[in-house]
Amino acid sequence: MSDHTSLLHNMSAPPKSVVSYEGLSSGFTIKKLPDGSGHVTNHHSDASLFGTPIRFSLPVGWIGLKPIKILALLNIDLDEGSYDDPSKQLATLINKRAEELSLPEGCAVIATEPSHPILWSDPLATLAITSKCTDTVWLRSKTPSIIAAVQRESISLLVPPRFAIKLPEAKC
Amino acid sequence: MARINSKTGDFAANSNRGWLERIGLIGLSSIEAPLLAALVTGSPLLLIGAHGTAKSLLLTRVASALGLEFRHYNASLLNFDDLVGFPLPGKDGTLQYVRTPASIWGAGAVIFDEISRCRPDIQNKLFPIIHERKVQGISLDGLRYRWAAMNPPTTDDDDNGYSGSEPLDAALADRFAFIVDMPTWAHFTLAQQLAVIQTEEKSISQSEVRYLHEVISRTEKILSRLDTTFTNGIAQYVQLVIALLAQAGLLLSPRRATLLYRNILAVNAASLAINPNVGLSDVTLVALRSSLPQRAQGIEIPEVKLLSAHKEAIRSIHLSLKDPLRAILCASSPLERIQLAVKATKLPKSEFSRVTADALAQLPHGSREAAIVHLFETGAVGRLNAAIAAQAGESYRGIATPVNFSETVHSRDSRYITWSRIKDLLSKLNPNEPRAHLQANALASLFAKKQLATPQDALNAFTAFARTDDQLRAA
Repeated sequence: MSDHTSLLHNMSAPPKSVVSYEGLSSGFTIKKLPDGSGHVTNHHSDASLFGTPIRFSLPVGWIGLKPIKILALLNIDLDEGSYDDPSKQLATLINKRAEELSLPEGCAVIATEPSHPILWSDPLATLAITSKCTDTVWLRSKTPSIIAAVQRESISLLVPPRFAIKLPEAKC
Repeated sequence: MARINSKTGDFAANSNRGWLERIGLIGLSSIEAPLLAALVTGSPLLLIGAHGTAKSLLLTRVASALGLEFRHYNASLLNFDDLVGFPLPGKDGTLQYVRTPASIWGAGAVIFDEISRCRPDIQNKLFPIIHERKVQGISLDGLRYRWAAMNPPTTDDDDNGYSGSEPLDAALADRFAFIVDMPTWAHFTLAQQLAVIQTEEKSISQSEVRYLHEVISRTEKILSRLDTTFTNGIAQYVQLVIALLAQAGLLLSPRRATLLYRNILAVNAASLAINPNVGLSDVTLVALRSSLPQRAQGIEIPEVKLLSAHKEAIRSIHLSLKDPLRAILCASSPLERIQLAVKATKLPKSEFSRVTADALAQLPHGSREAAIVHLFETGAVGRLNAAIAAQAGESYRGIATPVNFSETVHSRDSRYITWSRIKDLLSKLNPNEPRAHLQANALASLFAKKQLATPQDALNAFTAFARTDDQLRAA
């Protein structure tokens, strides 16, 4: 943490400042710029993430796939009665898989980083996440949206520390 | 739910004219039920209204219609001798009063007009008359009705009030079971306005007197036959509405709880006697409005909060006493409601979402962020509906993960000063303490969202977060 006051600046213009915040560990500063211009920024490093980030990623080529194609790629035969609407069968599978994941009932969705570990690499687990997410939160009990499920290649959740101990070891 | 165990007829429903209109009082149908309830129960009644809204006329007409021996005192000019007569020592050494035609002895009803303009020492002497029908410790046998009227009291915030109409003392205001606002000219229909303009002074006919006695008798019968399911439901309503009003800053005394309960039963009975088609919720709201002493004290009653509390409480009538939602709604602080709701894992998602969203909205900055952290750390966020969970998730992301924003500020700008204060506050935190990161991020996030306008806001949010986080974790 440091303060810098410029020695020279345009006396006719009110001084401006750069304020930065990079998390409690990394420091937070106020800088006054010599030319009177500046900006306020907050930066926060991964080190100050409160919880464990985990990433889910769809296999390449799955974006925009129809439910019937997804079921085929999952090597799942269509049930009798699902020919007209295979999305119901897929939704049932997604809900079942969502119940199996050792996650809390709800998690925050955070910006995805390649460094976030993938704990469940099967596509159905990813669909169980992507289909039950809003922009900010994943809810296990949410009705899956098959359309939303195949719109994002990957997504990261932040698991609070209390639940992180129940997570399996990272596979990659 | 069985509401009223009434076996009486429906003659009142067939009448187009209300009992007040029948005795020459036009445009007051909205207050007929509470006034009738006050007559039936004999509870003290206070009318509040602007000048010329027929407060005094109403009380004197009712007293005349009932054939009561009544005294009408202008409390602003009242001396105690006017009330009791002249004191004289009796032969046995006791004090006796020489009764005058204006003294209170033997009256069946008293009207204290302009009670808000009364001297405090006289107000104190009126107190036992209104409260317990006693004067100087002597029971006023035969006195059944104690009525008063006043203009809306002046308040600091209201320039349109009546100078000289002082707010009533809280204890005196609380002695009036019914506190009824008089309808104004603007509330009248055009036909009613014309009728008032062309009104003529007429005596009350015997048939109208009979009708009034009939409607009173009918209300008494209904009131005596209310079934226990209904009365228990109203008791639950009162319990909850008092808690909810307290949360909204409107505190009611335990005495008021009793009065409110009795008033609601009586107003429901009166309403049934007048028009059986009016719904429970509407009638109960009328009773609630007519039972709040704050109006006499010059305390504003926010309409939105009143309606919201009523609506919530009326829903609770159907809840069992063991339903966790009752305990949650009765909790005095929003934080306590969140804690109870999180623990009540069987609470339906819709109820949990509603309670949580309401409670979060009532929490100040800092406390709200700590409560959101609690929702995520307990997993309770998963019980919220998606829309509310998404909002909570957006806040939580700003607390548990980086906040990125960019902004130009001048060094003399309040944001610069506020950030300087935040910097000071954050420098006190220990980076080795994991929760300190949450607190720091929460404060930075609030600043980024421009929800901290001053250094004091920053300090308040900083301390609120720590306090709430400690409280939630300790629980």
